[in-house]
Amino acid sequence: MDVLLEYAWLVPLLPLLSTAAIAAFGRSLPGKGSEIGIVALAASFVLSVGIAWQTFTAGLPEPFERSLEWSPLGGGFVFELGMLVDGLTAMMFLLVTTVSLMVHIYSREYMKGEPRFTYFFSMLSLFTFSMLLLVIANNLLLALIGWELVGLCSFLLIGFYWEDKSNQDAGNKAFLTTKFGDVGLVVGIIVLSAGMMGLGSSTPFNLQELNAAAVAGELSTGTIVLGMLLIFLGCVAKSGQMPLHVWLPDAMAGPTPVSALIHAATMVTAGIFLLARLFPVVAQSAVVMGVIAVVGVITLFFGGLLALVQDDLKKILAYSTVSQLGYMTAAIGVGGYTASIFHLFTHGFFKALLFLGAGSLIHAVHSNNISDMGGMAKSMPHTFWTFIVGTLALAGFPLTAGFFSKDEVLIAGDLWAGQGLVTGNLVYWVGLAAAFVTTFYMARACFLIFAGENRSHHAPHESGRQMVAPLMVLAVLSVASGYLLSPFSSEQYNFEQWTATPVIEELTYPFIDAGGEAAGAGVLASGSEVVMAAEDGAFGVLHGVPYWHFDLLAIVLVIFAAAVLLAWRFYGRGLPERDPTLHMGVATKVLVSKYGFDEFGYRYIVVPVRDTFARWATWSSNVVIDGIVAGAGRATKDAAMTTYRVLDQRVIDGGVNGAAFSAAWWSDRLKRIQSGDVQRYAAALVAGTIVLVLAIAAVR
Amino acid sequence: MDPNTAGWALVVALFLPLVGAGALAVMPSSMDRQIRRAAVAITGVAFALVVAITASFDFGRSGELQFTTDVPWITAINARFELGMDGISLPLFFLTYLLTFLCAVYTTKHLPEPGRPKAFLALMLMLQTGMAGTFVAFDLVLFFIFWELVLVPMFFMIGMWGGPRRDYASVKFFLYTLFGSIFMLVAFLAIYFAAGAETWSIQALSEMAPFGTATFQTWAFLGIFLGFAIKVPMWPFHTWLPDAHTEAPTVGSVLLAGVLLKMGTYGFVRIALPILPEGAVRFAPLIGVLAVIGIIYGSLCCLAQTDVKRLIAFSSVGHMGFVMLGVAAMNEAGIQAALFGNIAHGVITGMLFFLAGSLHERYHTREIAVIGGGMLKKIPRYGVLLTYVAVASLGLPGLAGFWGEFTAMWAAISPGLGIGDQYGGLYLGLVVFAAIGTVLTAGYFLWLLQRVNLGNPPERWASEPLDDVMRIEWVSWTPLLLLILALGIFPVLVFGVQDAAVANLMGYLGG
Amino acid sequence: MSLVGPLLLATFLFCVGVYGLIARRNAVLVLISVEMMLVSVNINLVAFQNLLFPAEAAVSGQMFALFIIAVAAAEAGVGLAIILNLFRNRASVNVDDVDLMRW
Repeated sequence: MDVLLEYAWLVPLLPLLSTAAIAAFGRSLPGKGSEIGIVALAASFVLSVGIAWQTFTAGLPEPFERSLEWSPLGGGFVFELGMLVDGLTAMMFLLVTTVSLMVHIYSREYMKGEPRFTYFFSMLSLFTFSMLLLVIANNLLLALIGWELVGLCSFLLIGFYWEDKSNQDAGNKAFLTTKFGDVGLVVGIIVLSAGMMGLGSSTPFNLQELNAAAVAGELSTGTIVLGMLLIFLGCVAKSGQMPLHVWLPDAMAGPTPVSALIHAATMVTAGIFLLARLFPVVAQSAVVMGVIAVVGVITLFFGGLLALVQDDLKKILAYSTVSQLGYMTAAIGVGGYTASIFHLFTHGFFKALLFLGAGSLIHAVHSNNISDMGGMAKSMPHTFWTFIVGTLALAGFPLTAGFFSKDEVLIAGDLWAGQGLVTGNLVYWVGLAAAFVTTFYMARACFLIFAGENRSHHAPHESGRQMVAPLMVLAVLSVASGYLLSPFSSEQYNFEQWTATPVIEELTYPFIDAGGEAAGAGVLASGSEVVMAAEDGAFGVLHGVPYWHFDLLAIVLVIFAAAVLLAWRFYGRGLPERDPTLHMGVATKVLVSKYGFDEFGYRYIVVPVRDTFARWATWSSNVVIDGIVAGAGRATKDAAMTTYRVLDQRVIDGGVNGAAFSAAWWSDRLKRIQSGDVQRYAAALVAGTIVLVLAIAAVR
Repeated sequence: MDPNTAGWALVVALFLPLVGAGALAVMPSSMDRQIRRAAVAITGVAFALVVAITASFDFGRSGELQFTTDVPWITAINARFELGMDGISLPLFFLTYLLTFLCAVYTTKHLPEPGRPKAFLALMLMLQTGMAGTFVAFDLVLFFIFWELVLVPMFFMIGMWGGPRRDYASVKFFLYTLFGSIFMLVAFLAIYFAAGAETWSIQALSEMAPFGTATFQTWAFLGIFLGFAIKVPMWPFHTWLPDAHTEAPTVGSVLLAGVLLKMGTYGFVRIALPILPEGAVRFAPLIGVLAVIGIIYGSLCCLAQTDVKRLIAFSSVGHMGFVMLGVAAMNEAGIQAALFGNIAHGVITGMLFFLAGSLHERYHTREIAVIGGGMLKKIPRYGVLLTYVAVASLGLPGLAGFWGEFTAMWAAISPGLGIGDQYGGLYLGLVVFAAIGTVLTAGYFLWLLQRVNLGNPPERWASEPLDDVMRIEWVSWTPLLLLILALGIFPVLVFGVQDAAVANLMGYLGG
Repeated sequence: MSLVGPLLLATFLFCVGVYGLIARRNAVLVLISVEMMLVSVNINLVAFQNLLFPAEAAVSGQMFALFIIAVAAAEAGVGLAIILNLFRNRASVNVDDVDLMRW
């Protein structure tokens, strides 16, 4: 029964129609267009649920693909307008439509009274369409179209308050940084398609054909490494990986619902999605996997550190997004396909929840700074408990969704380490360390926001129903979504089975097959060590429903407790800066009089981590990397000025003008012969005749 | 109309504007309004006829010539009056009539100093015949005559209705282009004698190709290259373009960007490549390198501009670089990309020049710093249109600009005719630099938008009453705005029409 | 018959004409100089006719001379008319004053 899948194209189409409808007559409606967006998104959501159910219960079928020949591209090659619906698509559908629907509902209240309310909703719908187009695409070119449209919407929405220069700059920075990554993406797609053209395909962008060809070993290593590294550059920019994450914190200039939808739950996951889509190609090259893993590890750790020194709540969340995206990328790099997209899935819900919760708080106190909040637990009870749920999920507290998905990533790293691949160790240990950092900064934020006295100049009150209801829904999902792949889930129907395809299945769990034989393709099957290790039968646990890793559970719990306690130590009694003497006094007293441990920890761990390392990281992010970006911009501008002024205007144009001027100079000299004096002409005539006669005479 | 026999339709459509120009010339100058309406009527009828021709065009056989006329003309030199149209000509021919019609509509309300609509419109109609003729002439002599016919009206349009430096710009335009066409003419003669078939027919010569020695092919291609490369314009032959565009009246700029530049690339595709395939293969890497230099260079220059119109003019250098990159790829996809890029650039940049012209009429300046931002507040509809067209121009997928750029890069990765074996690495580098060019393009357009559109309007404009988009502007712009979207969503509109014709062409090239 | 006499006369007249043409500033004298040059040519024509084709009935040399006299008369008429007009406009017949064609 593929009936629903046949209509999967409706899922992206409805938001597109909604965009047009809102733009056309949204203003004249009582809800100023917001109702159109909500209805369209609700319909898309219902359809997505149906498709998700269809694929969830379908076992492991061949992916469902339908396409139209949309346009010839010359040389017999064809651009297809097509859809590829499998578990991965269905999962993204569900995530995007759910979060988008929640954001639409939430924005009705949050954006009330904004002058560009209708435009805002139109853009939200357009963004949703773009993301869904990227997800449903059955070929890279169509995916590229969605990808770029996502970037455009991001630009338009970040710069939503375009009266201020800083917001304009943020929008431009986001667009240009991601566009820089797109150089890699575009060239990467072209390189891969050239490989496919070499194989005689008439649809060189087709994803399934590409994956199949890669797995069958038909593509040359050079094509794969070059193509995938270039595509990964695009993913680095879009998914906020270091060093191209610089745009993401600035993007918080947009309205908060936009941050929730675009810069947390969906758009930034586009890069991860694309890597997952192309996982069979990625897995062919140890080089590519290694690069991806290292970039992911660096990002997940250093990205998280940056959040420690922020006062702006949205920036804390933005850096935590960078860090979590690092986990997803790193997971891809250590062969954890399921782990990566599972974390993507759960992260989408709880990060959207956190952002919307932040929006609710900001709405109440009219400030983004956690130093301006405090004591909000009493006045905003619903926001409080939902935000705490989101925080727990983000910190990976046991039995929340974040716990199951983050541990999946760590275990993927551990398994990879078991293959003798050092990137696995990196992911495992750095991942654990970053979990500590994450817990610490989230706990700090929570304490400063909810505990202590109200420091704002407003009397905060709970937001209205339209804002609270989405928070509650997302809070439930932030817990529940984790049970799709947990020790409690069904052996037959779970997240891993849902999102796998036959090709992926072969690649993701290559350690041993059902008969105990080493199986798989790509990088894992290529090394003899790997095969031998597999024959020992030490692995194979990742396939199927995970069991309890009690050792890991213990570590996670310890990390969680330590981080929360540490945060509570500093921030549990309100804003420390507010009373620095007390703060320093307590710290000094504890450190000096009681245990030496505290002081040691504070001076040699906390201070370096919280102040020096984090500041260094912020500095490197703001000064060095931003400086390089700005320097490149300035240098380009200078080069442009120089090229234009010197080379273009003087040298090249000078040559052109020179030809004209020399003609003018000569004519000025020659015209003097034309004296107008009849007798001079006559004299010249006579002289000329004489010369001619003499010449003829001489010749004869 | 039967596309096999209705050659008369093409002839009528082609010369109707010229006859119309004569009709306008005999109307008394005092009938200002009637003259403008008559011009709209003439271009409108011509456009309607072209729509009818398009409708009856046999798209199933778009690779073959249709609506042909072939009669002896100047028998002394064997020149024939040979007209026809295939899938490559049709989109450009259509665009010519559409743009001229819209320009005539626009001129009913807007005409720069010193007025005199009779002369202006008569010149525009002459120009139309010249431009359209280039795209349907299939005899080298006839082609050359149409090609040169274009120069004169454009010279007067710039020289009489232009900006402050109009004398300089018009003379530069005329001389620079003429300089190129002299070499082109010499190359045509060389081809005529080298082929030795006593024919100027492009079709016949293409079928005979390749002929002549390698040296002949190189030198003949060089001559043709100079003529066409100046018209395109390719770096470093582009310096006439910013001056001409900056000084030209709005309508002149629109036609210059929308159609005139296309004559160069069309010439490459229609004449230079099929008749001189060996020379083309030899020159392809050079064309590719110059094209990519143009892309990067044009974008850098745009970043340095302070005048909106000059910025748009320089952006043409970059965009035509993508078109020529497609030509340099020497494969079907590349030619497709080049021709699509042609159409897309004509529509988008034509529209941008309309916008720049209207900007000048409102603010009486085109200096970005003087405008100072806030257009989205002051004249919101205009601001939205500018954003839309700028975004299309920077190659956003879903709008027309994307297909030409992406396909050109895509085609260039695997150049045809054996070029790939020798220059594969070079072409990969070209693709990478071209892709970096797209970032620069995005950079200057976003920067432009930030400086003129966003923020609050400065004080000097705050109290000034500025009109938002007027009705006549909506009328003359809407078709282009829709076309930008339609070509982006349905690239098949152009790709599909051209497909068979391009395949035929590559047949001549041996690819 | 010897040609020396007529030729010497013609040469003398021609040289006087050339001198007058170049050196005199009065337009009327310039015109007269031109007439003298024409007359010297006529003398040559008649002289050579008699020497080379004495028996010819057609006397083409003399015919030429007659034509030249007629043309010279016409030319003188036109020239004098121009000079008259010049005098009316400029109150001068000096060729130095007339350089309208100067660049």
